[in-house]
Amino acid sequence: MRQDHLSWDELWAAWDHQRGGDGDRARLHPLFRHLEQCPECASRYQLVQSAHHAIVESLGGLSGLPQEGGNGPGSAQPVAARQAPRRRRTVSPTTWRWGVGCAAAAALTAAVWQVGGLTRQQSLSASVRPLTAPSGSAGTGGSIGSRAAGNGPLQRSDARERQPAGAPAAVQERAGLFSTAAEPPPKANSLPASSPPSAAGNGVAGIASDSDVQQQRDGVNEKSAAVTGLGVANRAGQTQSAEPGGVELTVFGFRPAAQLRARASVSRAATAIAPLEGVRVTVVSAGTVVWSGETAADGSLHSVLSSTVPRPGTTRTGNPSSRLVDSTLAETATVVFWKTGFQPVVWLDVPWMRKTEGQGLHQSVLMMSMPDGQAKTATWWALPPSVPLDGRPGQP
Amino acid sequence: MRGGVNAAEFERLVREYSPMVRSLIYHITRSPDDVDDIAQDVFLRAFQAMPTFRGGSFRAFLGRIARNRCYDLLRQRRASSASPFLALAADDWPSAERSPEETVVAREAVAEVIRVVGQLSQVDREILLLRHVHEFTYDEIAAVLGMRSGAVRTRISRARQKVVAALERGQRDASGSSQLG
Repeated sequence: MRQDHLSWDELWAAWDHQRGGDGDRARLHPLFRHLEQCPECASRYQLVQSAHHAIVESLGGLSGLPQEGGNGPGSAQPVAARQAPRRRRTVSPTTWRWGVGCAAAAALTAAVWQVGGLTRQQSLSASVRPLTAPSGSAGTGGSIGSRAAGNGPLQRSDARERQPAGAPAAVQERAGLFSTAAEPPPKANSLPASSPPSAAGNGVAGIASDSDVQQQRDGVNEKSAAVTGLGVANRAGQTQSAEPGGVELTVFGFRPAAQLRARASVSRAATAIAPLEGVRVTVVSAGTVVWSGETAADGSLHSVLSSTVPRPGTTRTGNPSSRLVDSTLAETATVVFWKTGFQPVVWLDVPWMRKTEGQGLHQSVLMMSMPDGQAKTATWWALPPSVPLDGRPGQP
Repeated sequence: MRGGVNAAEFERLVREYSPMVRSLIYHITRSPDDVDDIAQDVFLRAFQAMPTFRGGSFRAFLGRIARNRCYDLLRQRRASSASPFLALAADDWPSAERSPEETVVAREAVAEVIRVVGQLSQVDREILLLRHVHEFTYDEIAAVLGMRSGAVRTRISRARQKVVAALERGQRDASGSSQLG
């Protein structure tokens, strides 16, 4: 037995090893023997274990972050809280009780957080319900969803394709400030003869709905609306029926960076993680298709605004926004359909929206057509701060 | 693992490593709003980069991508000042199998540790996170951070000592106050 006491590094090495980590077992064996016979080192070893658990408590929690799927592999709980470490019972029962207590701590804390998260979620949901009530200011009215459980990356590309103009009348319909509605795919946006495999072929089936989560996100992002001074009406009615192969389309409006994000949920039962190709996304503003594109095999979605298309906002709002969009017509977005742990998302960055934000009123429609013929539309209005969110568009 | 990976295999990887990636992103950006954006971006990039993956630790590969993405983002905008540690209440520390006095001591000690961990440098916190929460090896941490393994060991040793000292201090203070009480 060693006569001197163990160093802190040795104690940590012993603890790392005991947790199932790395370390030379042969080299550590004498340390454990020493721990069994030296009360002082055993006490310090207990401190090391406590420090470890405290570190895990400090860093392992993801408070404020939506959790992924309970306490299983998808949860945000620390590994130590999910996996039973390989144990070597070389310490006192008191120490083990402490360790067990700490493990229970993690579980209890997770439960508390989850309960707290649900409570907060309900609170937030309630807070965003009176969306259509007159607010007098955009900061209090519009809600912007952005805290999705998966928001697609924006990718720019030089790839371009011209898209036919002319939006289907259906997509111009509006149900309240925000609506989603199943639509048959319009001819203008129908798939080409060489369209990619059907949704079923891509493993898409059913619809995932998590409107509660969406409401929470909307509520959270009211702050964003307040910050930007831009009221954007959205949400309500996101939950769609579960037609096989369908999509649920949610426009969550603008973030401070004024990126338009549309979250399109497909079934969690989908088996394909690969990007879904053949999804057509169309943005209509003021009755004109201003953006349209179809996903390629890699999920990328490229399009370009036609220079002949009237600039959005010029006719309805009188805003001289045309000069703002001359410089940048190319648009790209990525549509990536993930199955695991993510909500599929369409993330569009619409420069004319960004550049005209807060200057006038737009009605815009985003439509997504799935390869199997299903289509969804979402209508949103971008309102300047002076326009109350009374459920109807109006002149600023 | 080397080279390309099929969708099903990658799906499994996403499931397995998503908590780690999200956790790392969260603790770097301190912005819950950004976690899912970046996480999806990380996995997308990883998926695209799989053919070039040369083997080794996949989670270190992911961690490195996540870290780079986070710092890219932080460079583009100012990091939020909200501390992820504030929301962690010492009251959440359970009192299972402890006397009330022991519970008080534990809470005080954990609160002190939380404070100290919050004062560590960003890199030290990442190291502690990867080591203690996600159980990375030193080599994996070194790969994620772009450091030598020895440097990681040195930094984690110092950080741990600060934590232990804080724990001792917290326990001592709590014991003193409980005795006074």
